[in-house]
Amino acid sequence: MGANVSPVTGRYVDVEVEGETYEVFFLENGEGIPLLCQHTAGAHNHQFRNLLRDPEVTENFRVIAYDLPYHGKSDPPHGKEWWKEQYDLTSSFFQEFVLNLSEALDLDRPVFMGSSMGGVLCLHLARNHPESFRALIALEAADFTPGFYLDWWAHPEINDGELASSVVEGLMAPQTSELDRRLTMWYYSQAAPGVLKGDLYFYSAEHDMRETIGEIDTRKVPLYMLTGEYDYLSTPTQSEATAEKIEGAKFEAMREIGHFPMSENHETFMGYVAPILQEIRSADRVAGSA
Amino acid sequence: MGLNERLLGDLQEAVRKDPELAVVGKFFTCDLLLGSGERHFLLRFREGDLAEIIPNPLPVVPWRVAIKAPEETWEKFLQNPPPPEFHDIWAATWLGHMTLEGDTKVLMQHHLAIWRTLKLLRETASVNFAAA
Repeated sequence: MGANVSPVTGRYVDVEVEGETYEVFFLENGEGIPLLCQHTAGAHNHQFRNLLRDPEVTENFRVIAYDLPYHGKSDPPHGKEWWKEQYDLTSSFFQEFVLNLSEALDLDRPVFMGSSMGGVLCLHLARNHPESFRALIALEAADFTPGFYLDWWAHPEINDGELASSVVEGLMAPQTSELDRRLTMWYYSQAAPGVLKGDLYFYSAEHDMRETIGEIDTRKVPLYMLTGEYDYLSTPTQSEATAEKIEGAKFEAMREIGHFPMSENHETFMGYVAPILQEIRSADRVAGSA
Repeated sequence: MGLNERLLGDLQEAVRKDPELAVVGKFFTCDLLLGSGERHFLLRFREGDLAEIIPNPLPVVPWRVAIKAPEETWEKFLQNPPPPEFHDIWAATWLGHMTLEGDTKVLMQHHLAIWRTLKLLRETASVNFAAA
């Protein structure tokens, strides 16, 4: 292939969730331990564009960044009249989706990494399905993240794309490059109407693990938490307080990063996530040799 | 230092020269009040232009949206780079350093233009600080 053809490939896979079939689009690159990557609310898999192209990651990990149904190139279900229902993402749908996607791709206990609603999902998967994952990397997560399930995200008198993009800009660190900042904003202007709000049902209305977070057993699955210092939705203080309730969870605050680590500043993010990926590899080798 | 007349006068020039507001400001007509401690400034935007600035307007002069904070908050907001919690109006409001008042829907309708204006305010403050 030509020198300018990316090694990142895009394909579709059918995934069954709650009795419906979804044609799910995913980007992938690399070989080794599968690393499933979940984008933030109202966004899509381009948030992981730099991780997908980084040889430091892809030489040991098969990076798979998918679009959740209704996002990016993953359509709503073809077999259902989705336009007659309010799109509100639920914890049960979200967890079943990830488990069935992993099965559909024949992945052996992948590492799962997600940011914001994806980070919060890590906490649910850690508690409910630890056996299905090699490790969980929760970015920008806390046990309780209220306040963002707002009608303003889907209102006929408001340009939802302009609102969403300019609001999420305030969740980024000011040190973010102009290109990364504008691309992250761009992804937020691309969501179909109501999808951002519907995702935030899970994140801000349903999600509340204040009473159950201590049930996570990190002996069954390692849990890593990373939070950017400029994130005001789940601040480092809140993420750290969450991690302290989970025996064995590892937390680190990230400097000069906000709510979208992988999309804001790949180089800075790698400074924090690369040692985690290395630790996961080392643990894997030990387990493999046992 | 919080907000002052010189800074906002320079902001007016920056708004008029900004290519981004020229693209997105066509429908940006809004009376925005900025409160810095006891000092208030009414910014009258008309179709993307910052047409008029009224320092300390009388209480009966109407506005649609107000962004109010102590001077110390604006001082941190205007730093380049600003510290966490003070880098954005949502961040500062969420964490108790600032208040948003008036018609929230109008704020949401003009959010992109207001966001851009406040970016220009920070850039203007940086230039002024460097020149001082």
